[in-house]
Amino acid sequence: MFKLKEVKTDISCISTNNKMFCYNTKQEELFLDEIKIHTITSLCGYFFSNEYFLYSNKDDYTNSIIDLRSKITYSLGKVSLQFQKSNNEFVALEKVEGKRNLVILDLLSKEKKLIQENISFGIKLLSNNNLIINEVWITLKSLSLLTGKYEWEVDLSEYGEIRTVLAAVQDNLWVLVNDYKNNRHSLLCLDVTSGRIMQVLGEGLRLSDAHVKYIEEKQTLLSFKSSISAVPSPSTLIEIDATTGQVLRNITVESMLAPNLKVGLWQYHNNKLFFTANTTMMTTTHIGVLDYDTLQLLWYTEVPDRKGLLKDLQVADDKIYVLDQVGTLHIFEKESSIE
Amino acid sequence: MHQYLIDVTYFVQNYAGRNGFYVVLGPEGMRSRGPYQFAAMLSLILRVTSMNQLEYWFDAKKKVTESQIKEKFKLMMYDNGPNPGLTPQGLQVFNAIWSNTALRGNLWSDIPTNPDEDDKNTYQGKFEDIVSSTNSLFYNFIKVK
Repeated sequence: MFKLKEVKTDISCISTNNKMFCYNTKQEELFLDEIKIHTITSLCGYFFSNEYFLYSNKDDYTNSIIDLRSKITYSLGKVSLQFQKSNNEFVALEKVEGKRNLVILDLLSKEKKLIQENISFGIKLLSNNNLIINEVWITLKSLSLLTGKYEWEVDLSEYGEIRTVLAAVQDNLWVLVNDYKNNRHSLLCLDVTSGRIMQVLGEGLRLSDAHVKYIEEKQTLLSFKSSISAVPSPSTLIEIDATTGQVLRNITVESMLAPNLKVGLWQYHNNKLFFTANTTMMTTTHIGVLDYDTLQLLWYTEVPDRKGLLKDLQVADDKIYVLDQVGTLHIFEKESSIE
Repeated sequence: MHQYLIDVTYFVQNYAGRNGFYVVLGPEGMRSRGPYQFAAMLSLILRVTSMNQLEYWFDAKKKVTESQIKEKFKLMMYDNGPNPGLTPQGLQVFNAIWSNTALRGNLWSDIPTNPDEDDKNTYQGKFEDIVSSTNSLFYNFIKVK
């Protein structure tokens, strides 16, 4: 069970790496595990695993990174880190005269290797030595960081618009694609080495259009959604084996039906699913916890004194952090075993 | 002073089989104004994952056209005056979009994985360009029937 432990006001955003917790206030102060580390930023920091924490300065648009082990802060200037390639190496974007250059940065030696100048596409995923790139929602490309050349390109427009490049698991590259005109959402499995479409999932599945996640620990893809309505409607959970593409579960979460909980946002943490939900109102009002395997409803509560909807939910270190629309952060702490 | 056009107090309903919101204006639609309606619009922006999920329906019997309503939405968000730019409401709409990572990723395909302050500023500029023209696809959520 969890109980409300603390309430903070004037919070603009929150983030976590499952262990540490960061928030930014409306006064533009950034806190990491309750220690103020910076002022003048309107954004939250970004964690690279448990090792690094990146944050941005609003006054001069520069970035800094903290090594969470040594507590050393490195100033990055106008380099923004995107992916951790190896221990000290990062795939990064360097701003030069309003243009973005793709570089590989060694944090310790400060060496930078230019891969491509003036990029205008979205970098979505790092898979070994290749970057998966999305151009205008339709085309997916694979750029080799070793040669700086594209290895393949595929047009996915017949399935709709590319929404999320979810994960590369072994040779499977999973991409969520939305076709809003026909209300069709598909999970495409591409061969990561060639870009060839190997599998299309979606037909007969009530997939979420945006809230599909890769659960690394389980090597599964999870879609968990409900419709946003004032009337009772089921929450549907779909679990797919990311290595084989097999649909493992495609079910209504029965335990949420009686309390009339319709899932909104959700997070996987320690074999549990933490979620926000709406019941009789149009806005999310409740939070709860499900067992990942049995989908038994372990606990739920209405968030007291919330204002507007619950716009973010994060879980770290036996605490549930819920941010509401006006910027009140509701912190719930584990008080007893819910096994 | 900008008038708030949006009245979601009458009813907000999402149709079965669709993912999003249809906002249908009730009898008070065109007259209604005030911060509540604006807050309701922000709330919807925080919930949708694509602007395609949001539709504001206006009653054609009220003798309004789509372009008139788009123009009023534009005036609410964008100031065409001597110092053109986002209005405070426009900035709030941008901030709501920016805090909804699913929605911002749907609006712009080239946002970096973890955007910094400079990126945020760049996309705020792009948002300004979008809302300054009623011809932009952004305003397609406005329908008259």
